[in-house]
Amino acid sequence: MNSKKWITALAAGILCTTGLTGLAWAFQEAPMLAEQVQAGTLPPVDERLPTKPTVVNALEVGQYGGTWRRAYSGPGDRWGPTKLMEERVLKWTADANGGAVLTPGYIESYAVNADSTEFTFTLLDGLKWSDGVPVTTEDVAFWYNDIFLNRKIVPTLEPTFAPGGVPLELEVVDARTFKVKFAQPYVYFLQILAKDSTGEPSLDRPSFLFPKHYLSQFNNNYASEDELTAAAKKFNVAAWTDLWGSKGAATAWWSNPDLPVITAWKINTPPPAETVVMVRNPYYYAVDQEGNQLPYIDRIEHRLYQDPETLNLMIAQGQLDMQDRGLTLANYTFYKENEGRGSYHTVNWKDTNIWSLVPNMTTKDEVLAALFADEKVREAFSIAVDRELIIELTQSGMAQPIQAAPVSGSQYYNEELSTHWTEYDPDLANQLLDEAGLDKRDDAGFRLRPDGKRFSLVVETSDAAHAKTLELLTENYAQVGIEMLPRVIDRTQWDNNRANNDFQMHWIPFDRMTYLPADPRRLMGWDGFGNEYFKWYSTDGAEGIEPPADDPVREIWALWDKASQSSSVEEADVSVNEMARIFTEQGWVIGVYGEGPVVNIVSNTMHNVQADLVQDDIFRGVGLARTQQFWLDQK
Amino acid sequence: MVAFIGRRALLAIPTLIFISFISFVIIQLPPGDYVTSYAAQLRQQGDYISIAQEAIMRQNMGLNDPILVQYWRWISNIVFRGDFGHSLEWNAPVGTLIWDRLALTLAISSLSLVFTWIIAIPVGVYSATRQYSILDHLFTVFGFLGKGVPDFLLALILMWIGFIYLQIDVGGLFSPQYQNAPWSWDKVVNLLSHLWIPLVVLATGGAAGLIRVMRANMLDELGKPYVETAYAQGLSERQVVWNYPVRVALNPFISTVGWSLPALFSGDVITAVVLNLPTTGPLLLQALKMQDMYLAGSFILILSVFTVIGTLVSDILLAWFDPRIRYA
Amino acid sequence: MTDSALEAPKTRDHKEDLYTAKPWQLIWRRFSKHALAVISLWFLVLLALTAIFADQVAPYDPFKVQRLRTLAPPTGIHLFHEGQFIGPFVYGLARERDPNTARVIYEADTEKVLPIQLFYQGDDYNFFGLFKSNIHLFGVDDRREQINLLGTDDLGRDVFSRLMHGGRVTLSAGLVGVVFAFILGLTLGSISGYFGGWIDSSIQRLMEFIRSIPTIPLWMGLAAALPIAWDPIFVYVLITLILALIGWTHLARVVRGQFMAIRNEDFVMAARLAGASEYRIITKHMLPSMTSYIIAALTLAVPEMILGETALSFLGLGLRPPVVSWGVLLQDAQNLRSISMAPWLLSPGLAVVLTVLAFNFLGDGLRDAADPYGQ
Repeated sequence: MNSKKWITALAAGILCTTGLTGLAWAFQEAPMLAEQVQAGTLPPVDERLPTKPTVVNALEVGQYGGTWRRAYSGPGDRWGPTKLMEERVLKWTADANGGAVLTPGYIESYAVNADSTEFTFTLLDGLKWSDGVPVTTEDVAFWYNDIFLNRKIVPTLEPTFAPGGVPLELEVVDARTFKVKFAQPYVYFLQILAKDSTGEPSLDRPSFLFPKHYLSQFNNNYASEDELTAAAKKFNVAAWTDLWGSKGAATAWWSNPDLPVITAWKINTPPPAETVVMVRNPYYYAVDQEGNQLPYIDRIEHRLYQDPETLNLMIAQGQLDMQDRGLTLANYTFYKENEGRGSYHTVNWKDTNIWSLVPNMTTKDEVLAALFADEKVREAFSIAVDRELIIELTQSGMAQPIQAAPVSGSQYYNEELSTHWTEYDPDLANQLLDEAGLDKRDDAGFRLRPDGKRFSLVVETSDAAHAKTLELLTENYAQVGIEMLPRVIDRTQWDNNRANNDFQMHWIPFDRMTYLPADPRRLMGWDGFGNEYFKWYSTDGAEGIEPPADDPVREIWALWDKASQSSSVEEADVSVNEMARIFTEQGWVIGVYGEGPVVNIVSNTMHNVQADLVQDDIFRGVGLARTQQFWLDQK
Repeated sequence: MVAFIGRRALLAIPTLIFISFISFVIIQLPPGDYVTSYAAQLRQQGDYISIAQEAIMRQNMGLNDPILVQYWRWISNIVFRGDFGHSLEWNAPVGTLIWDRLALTLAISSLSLVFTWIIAIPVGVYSATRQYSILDHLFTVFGFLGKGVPDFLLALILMWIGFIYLQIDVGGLFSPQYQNAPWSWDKVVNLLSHLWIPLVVLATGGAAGLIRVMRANMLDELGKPYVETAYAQGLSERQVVWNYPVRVALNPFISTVGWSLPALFSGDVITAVVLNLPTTGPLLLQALKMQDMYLAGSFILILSVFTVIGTLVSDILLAWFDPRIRYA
Repeated sequence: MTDSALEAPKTRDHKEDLYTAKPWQLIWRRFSKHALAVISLWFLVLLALTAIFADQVAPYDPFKVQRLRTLAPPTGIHLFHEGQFIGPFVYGLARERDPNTARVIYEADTEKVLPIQLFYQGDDYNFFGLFKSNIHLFGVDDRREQINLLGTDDLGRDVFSRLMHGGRVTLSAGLVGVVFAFILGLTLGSISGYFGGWIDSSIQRLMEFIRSIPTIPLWMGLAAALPIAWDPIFVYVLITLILALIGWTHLARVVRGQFMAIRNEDFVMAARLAGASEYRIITKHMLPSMTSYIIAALTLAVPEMILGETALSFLGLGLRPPVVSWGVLLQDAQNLRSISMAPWLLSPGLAVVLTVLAFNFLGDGLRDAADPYGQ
């Protein structure tokens, strides 16, 4: 495995164990907890930890205590705090080289059978909820029977957990071991678990586990109608189903301080408070390499901000210890110049977004759709862009001119694809457009379409911060005789236009080009160039628009169908690589720049924030850096 | 007068019903609904929810129902049970959300309003009686500087100056260490050191307008023959100016003073956003942008009640201040 | 006027002149004594001219991107080079990027002396579609170097040129809404105050209703409903017109209050007895009695209009680039990055303040001049 590649492939069928074996450990705990043990309000640390706790190798063994000060922008920023402490049976974590490794979390071991249809997991011995109640397969069965299969709580089955239309099956082996079975091979199941957990009601819940001892009182299989109504009333919601769901008043960690969790911290002051506070979970299952129970940090405070400038002001004033969200590269110099004032430094991660122009292949303007379908026009679209100029002026020169293709470091990376049609060549672009039959021009020098109208393109973005990039692109396109009409519109309208097939071209951050199988929909048209085609594909022709019989997007779909039924990762990856190749060579998406830095603000008292990691939703953002082992200088 | 108030109260009922319905419709006028906004917000931060999840949310929130059904569900709860409904975004009762922020909002907005009046009215009178004096010009330039620079920008500049040159903590109402601390003398001092920026920003914007209007009306009045007559009778300047011309000149101010009532309740939205003030204004702004219609609708309903009351108060004050005005 | 001048005896004294002058002559005479107002008038005339002739006055194309001149500070104008007088000139700039902070740093290149030329031939432009030219009022003759009186923005565009072109949009498109709202406010306010009774009552309820309408979703809905390919300036004017429909209430309410106060005064009664029509009473007798207020309200409405555009943009609505207007330029300055690192981007704010002050002093002068009780 190339050490530069940051995803370590997992061989299927191997048995992996974590935890400490053979050694007798003396566990240490945070002073804040030791006090409670002294006072008799908490059992001693040895009783709280599993017999063989998971070891998280801290970059540097840290000090206990302190409050990590952060900022959040309101209820919509719920994923900011969530991603600091997501739990999965297997979670992406960074290795020493910054590579992403699938690492077991609260399980002792897992196994996959030869054709990837059966996955066996064993929970840690002595794993406990944050209220001290043991976690057992009862909780797993509760998840499966009373939530996953409960159509009142999860109204529709997600295809991710029902490949081939057959939902996954659960078999409880003993108090700690359970098996998950599929009707067909599912080689990427572990990676999907790491990204999506077990799906609905929300991916912020740990995979397979719901605290039965607490939540059964809110479940219709256990509680009576009256009890449910009373519970809804107590939580101030309209119906008992509102207690569940992604924002469920009782079941979302973020709104209910009483909910037992297994995360490193738990909520203490829930929103809508001005400052949302999380405190450490005394029963957290992991220790560092010296047997110190994690996390190191006692509390996390998320301060509400309403405007990005307020966040910048907090940063310059040194009011944040580590901030990973809400920062922009445009402010890079501002952050750097105020490092002294705010006594912090920046830690750069790698951006995986590829900012791209996405033509709508199914646009309602048929003449335009026909032009988009012409490969020459698409090539001209791409080589007419002066990527270096855009990067120099809008990205402080810090991004790479790349095509919409797997990003460097991904195991699917291919340099040829990444630089496909990225050479700036307006002369060739002009020539290609002439060849495509667009050789007539109007008085202003713009090309005329076959129907005699001016070749103009409305490009929509939802973020005013990108208006300048679009202005530069407009200049580039004007040079090849295409009139670009950049429009900054409200993001809801923008989303709506896409959903309703009502746009010509969008300017978007094209993401998920890292571990492709974890979310291959981008390549398949979803949310972009062929949203209507993808609708047609995913609804078996019930909705959307059918692509022409020879459209290469059909090849991509066929390849994915093949990959998802392969019995080994190697076999599946062959198809995935081919998907990426067809996608990029077709040039459906015009990548402009990407792979620039993502800025994190880290105060000089904060330690163990690893640099040069990848920032991607698939790896759950900051979670990759293993926040449990962050620590703050204590006086 | 009692009959007058009674008649107005009766008229207010259909007005409010009409307002509440039209507002409810207008809030949902932008494309999409709350779920679309929510999905869009997530997408902006690189998070996603599936179309199936969106459909579930819509169903649970009753967003698929006809608008009349939604309206009735909302308004009937308010009328019959005093329940303003649930904020879709915060998943919390609207009443609680607003109530939590109300005290601070009222404190800041009434303080800045009174501050504005205390500055503007005397300065306006002074500027008129000493027209074209150096101070008059100074007030003019200063006033329009406040008026001509966007509040948002002014607040940012003041905060930056405060931070770089005065080395004080800026943004919000408290330094982080006092945010959750119990009230103490230090916390009050800390509050005051934060409060001056919002007060200056709000007062400069509001005062300039009032100063100009006061000055213009005073100039009209001071030139009238009755003032000369009063001077001729040997009255002092103070007696002449403050007894009658000021009362007349206040007419435009009083005509609209009642509308400060809803403004008190929502505070100045943009200033609050940039200064990170925990007032109700940003809550309303966010609710409107997200189409969180129960929160936004209830908010607007409350504001419109205050508007109606404010108009009435202004009318009563007009009659009281200016004896020439009679309501038939 | 020419007739009377011809016939007038040479010994005519000043007083007689005053008695025979028409009202507007009196007003002009008094106005011209008001130095600040006259200066303001000239300033505004100049402003209007530069807006019209922005193509010629601005040294550069407002959209021209200069990759090697991003965020350059205002260019200093010098007269002496190495102790020798050589007329107005500027130095070239040496550019460097700080590897740590990524900030672009400029230093004057004193080797390179670039005299400022008048009627310099630079970027091509098309003057309102009438003719093409490349003559600019001033500039420096160099392929790479520029004169940037107000610095450049982060795409290396000349802020001074953008300011000139932005004035066109701000002082034309933006004013439409103000005028419209003003006319509505005056009309409805006068009717409400003059007639009273059920007319007043219904107009007042209408006001209460209008003031309660949330404008943000209304604007968002409208913006989404209009075809996206339409010119953004046209859409903006359209929306300001629609917003004017709800922006008249404040003025109307004040006018109504004033009218209620004066409708029974002697001069109104006299006009009524003289058989004047109600329209005439309102427009010729009552409204002029509150000229001062109207002028003050107008001068206050101008900055509100200019800033209204920025406030809306802050909400993610309103005018957006690539349109150039003062509001759009100010958006660029509304962040700590600009305030701390490129304060020259705040210059559109100064332009707004100066314009507003000029309008105000002009208003003052007009008011004084028109005041029948004035000395």
